[in-house]
Amino acid sequence: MSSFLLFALLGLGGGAVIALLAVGVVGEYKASGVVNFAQGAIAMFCAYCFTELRSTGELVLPVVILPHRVPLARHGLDTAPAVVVTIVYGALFGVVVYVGIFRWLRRAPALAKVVASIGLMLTVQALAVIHFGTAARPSARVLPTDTVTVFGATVGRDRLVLAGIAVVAAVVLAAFYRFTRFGIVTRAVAQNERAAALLGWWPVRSEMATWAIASALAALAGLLAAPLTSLTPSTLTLAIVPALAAVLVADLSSFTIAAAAGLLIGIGQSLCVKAATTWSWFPQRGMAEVLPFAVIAVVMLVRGDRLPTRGETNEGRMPRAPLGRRPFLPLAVFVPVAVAFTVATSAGWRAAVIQSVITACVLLSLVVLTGLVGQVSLAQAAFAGLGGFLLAKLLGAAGVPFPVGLLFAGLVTVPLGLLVGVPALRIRGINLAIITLGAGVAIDAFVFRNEQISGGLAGVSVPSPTLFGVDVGISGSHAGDYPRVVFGLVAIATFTVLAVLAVNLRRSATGAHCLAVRTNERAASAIGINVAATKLLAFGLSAFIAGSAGGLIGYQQGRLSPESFSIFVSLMLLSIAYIGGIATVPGVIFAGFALAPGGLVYTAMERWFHLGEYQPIVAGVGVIASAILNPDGVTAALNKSRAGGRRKAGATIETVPTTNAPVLAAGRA
Amino acid sequence: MGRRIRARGLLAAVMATAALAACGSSGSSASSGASSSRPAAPVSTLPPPQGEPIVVAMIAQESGPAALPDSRLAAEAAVKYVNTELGGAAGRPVQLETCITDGSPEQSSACANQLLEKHPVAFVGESELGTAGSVPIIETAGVPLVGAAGITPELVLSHDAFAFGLDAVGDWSGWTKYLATDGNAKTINLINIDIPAAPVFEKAVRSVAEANGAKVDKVVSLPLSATDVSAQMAAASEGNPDVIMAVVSAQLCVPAAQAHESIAPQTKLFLPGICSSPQTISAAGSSMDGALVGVGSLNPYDTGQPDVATYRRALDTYGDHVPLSQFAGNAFTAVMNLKAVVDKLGPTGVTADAITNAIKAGTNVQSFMTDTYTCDGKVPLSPGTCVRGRRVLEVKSGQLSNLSDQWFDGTGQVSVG
Repeated sequence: MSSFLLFALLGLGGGAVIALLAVGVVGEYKASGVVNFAQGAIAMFCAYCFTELRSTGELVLPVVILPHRVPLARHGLDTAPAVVVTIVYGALFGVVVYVGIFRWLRRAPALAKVVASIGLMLTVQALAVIHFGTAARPSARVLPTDTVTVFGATVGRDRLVLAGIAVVAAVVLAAFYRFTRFGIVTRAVAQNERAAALLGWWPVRSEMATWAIASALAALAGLLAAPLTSLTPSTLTLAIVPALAAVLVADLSSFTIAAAAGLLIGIGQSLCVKAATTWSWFPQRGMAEVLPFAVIAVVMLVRGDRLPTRGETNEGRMPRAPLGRRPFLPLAVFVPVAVAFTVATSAGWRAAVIQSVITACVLLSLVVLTGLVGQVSLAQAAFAGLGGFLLAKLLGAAGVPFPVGLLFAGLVTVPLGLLVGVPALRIRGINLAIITLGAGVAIDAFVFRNEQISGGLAGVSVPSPTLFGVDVGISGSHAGDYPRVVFGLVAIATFTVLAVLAVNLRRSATGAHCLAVRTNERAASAIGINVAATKLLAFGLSAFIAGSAGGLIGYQQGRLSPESFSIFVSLMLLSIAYIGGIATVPGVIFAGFALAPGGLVYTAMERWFHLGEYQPIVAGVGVIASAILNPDGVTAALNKSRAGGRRKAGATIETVPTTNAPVLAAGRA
Repeated sequence: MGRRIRARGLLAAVMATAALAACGSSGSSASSGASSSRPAAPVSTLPPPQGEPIVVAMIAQESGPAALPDSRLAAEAAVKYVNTELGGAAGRPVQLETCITDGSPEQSSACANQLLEKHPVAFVGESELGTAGSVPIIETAGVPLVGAAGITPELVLSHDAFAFGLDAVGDWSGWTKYLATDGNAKTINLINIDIPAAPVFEKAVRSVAEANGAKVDKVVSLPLSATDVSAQMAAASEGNPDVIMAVVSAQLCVPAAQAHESIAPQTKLFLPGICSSPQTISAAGSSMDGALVGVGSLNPYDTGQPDVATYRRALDTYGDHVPLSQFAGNAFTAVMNLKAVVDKLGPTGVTADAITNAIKAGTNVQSFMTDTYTCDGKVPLSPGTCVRGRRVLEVKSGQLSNLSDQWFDGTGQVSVG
């Protein structure tokens, strides 16, 4: 028994980090309605700054191109002043983030807030990579390093102190928001902003102060947690997943419950290690990562109707989903251009075109799910990965021809899409983003890292696709025949078929139902639309498209790697789709070619200017700017400016259906 | 087990030794007094390289899940050293073309295509994680991967990749061989990082341990995204094993050492070569003192060895603050071994196919800073393993010190069952 107690106590360290992040996220949500996916990334960046202060005495600013190092001391700062400077720095970071980003999204739809916070996460992570590199960096210990014995179990004192700090922070914040005038004002603003403003309270000030407090907490979490694990740009960033589970347990409102849940998740993860080495029936790996997802799923299913944002109807406008009078015109233009490029270019550029087209295929799954139905999914890469791995695993040796293989990859992914979509019947917006994020992490840890699926060291091979007995794979039979033109044509054909599917869905009555559900679920239900069926259809179709695209990735790579389907890939996909225009086919074509890693513009940037490393920061900043300034996406903005030009010239303006129109269309249907 | 020099390979070994002895002697003579400032390059007695450059390529991972800039820095230093002091390769200058990736298959694929357009005869020191995207392209082009770090399935399994002392199967089998023989370990507990190759690590350790009278009592899985190793260390210390072998990623070297110090200080800790960089040892401080560290090459601090002296001096002279990490050593070895192969082929016979055939044809060929190599593709689970022998060092007062002058080869005892 004392052995289990030891593991429970050891889990307090990781649990305290989760708790501190969760408490900060709760504060931010209470103040401004934003679930900040970047809380872990802010903690990570501040922890890096702390190590720099300790080693060089310089403060590193989150900027590029401009000078970003401010010397505060000739040599490294001592621990105490470095801690104080880092916490103040974290608070200012929060103020800048709020004033620069989230203040402008106060009335924006959940999708805009989610993608903006993901954009912030990607930006902060990219800044850390540029300023600090990705090599693991050890951090100086702040807390005492000796051990103590508790009920016979010996553990490091730092774990207990860290847990104590998390509990104290939660209790102090809870008391502060409950008993102080500032706290009462903040809660009043959150409940009725207009009434609070009429009483003379400026909402922005209380929200800004809350963001400062929350980011200071993130900084504290980062600098205290960094010694437990060496610093990398991804480790603390991903700690947001269990923290979000704790936030949901706390109903996005209670500091103390969030802290308690965070500690319990940490303890649970530690006990999973003990269980795996004690009981042979217990899964030997992946359970620690699956635990937060299990918590999220249970909370969603049990208490989904009590969670905030359920059935909200006053959210801002979603991105436009225009169809136009010639819905297939963009495809008619795209296909010959892409084919010409594939045929006429050298191997390197052809590979970039193929990469762009395949990325656009995956992005089409977001057009259906997020663009048309408004369901935010952060698990699209996981869907694609499942399609690719199952194609390799189940049909790898059978030698099925190319279209059948992709059809199979899509179909076997549909059940997973439906499974992830079930919670969406009760929730939407931010909560759905959280559950799909957890699902993405769990699938990566439990499925893609599983030897039975991924094939262990040997990996899983996807045989070259064939059509009527002819090899249409990416590699030729002789040296240097890579990538083959015929595979580029296969990729373009696949994209065309999937894009026609998406456009036809948009044109149909079902598409109108989708947009009606996206606009207002209750109104849609009132006019006879089966909201549940519509959502599940979207999840199933989206999973089918993503799975097929995953199969195409398998054909492209030959041997699949889990790295192609990690959670960061999902975040990147949502971001670039949003920038291009998440509700339209031209939007994802733009995203695939202009923004995808390894795509055409990326390749040009890398070859001509060696700027490929800035792609993540371009995507991160781009998605934030899009969320604030241009939620319809770049292609819609281009269309608008073209229409404006025609208006000036006296031409007839094309009627573009907006998100309001489909409700009427649905009613007619 | 000592060096395995067989009669068939003796001639080749002697020739290579002669070539490298020249490097070693020049290194030894120039290394005196070179520690405080960058030493001037000595004047070479060999004619400067002439003719069309021999293009070699490298995909360098410098961001993403793991940054390995050491490889590129060391390869650049090696190429400068070869061109400046050794008269190039077969009398021709060597030109290194590099492309930076973040380790994603997509970017690595773009890098492979970009580099192949420059018509390289070989890729050197390949050590990146996006090989699912890059290696199939390089294989299709028929270009060998010389000195590839066998850290991904593609590099371990490729028949065109040749690992010179850095690959998963060779590493863990050789290190286990040492622990179970000279290390006197009877019970080993394993902390195993949760990646697709994890079962292979376990198979290699378990089979070699059992073949030498030891046993693996407990295997504890370590999530790739773990922020704390304490629970895993506590689980691995149960049953009081003689050694805890920790298969960890670079960022968990220091936390693993610290967790070991506070939870299981009475048990010997074994860490992989990725934890052997000076920065890691310095950051771990006293918590790593006494830990065993496995390597695939000579101790980079043992400058009494001619190869090491050459390596250190070349990095000092031509490198730009290159850390003494295993990836730096691997890339340097790759360039030096490739030069030796090209020297044998002569200035007109240098093609990708010729290099591949020459490497595959050799037996017990002398290798720079490592055990000899034989690229016969016969190591179970890892056809790319060429250098079989490994060494184990001990951390003493922040320095790596030798435990034995022998190479330990466990590849023959790896069971695929």
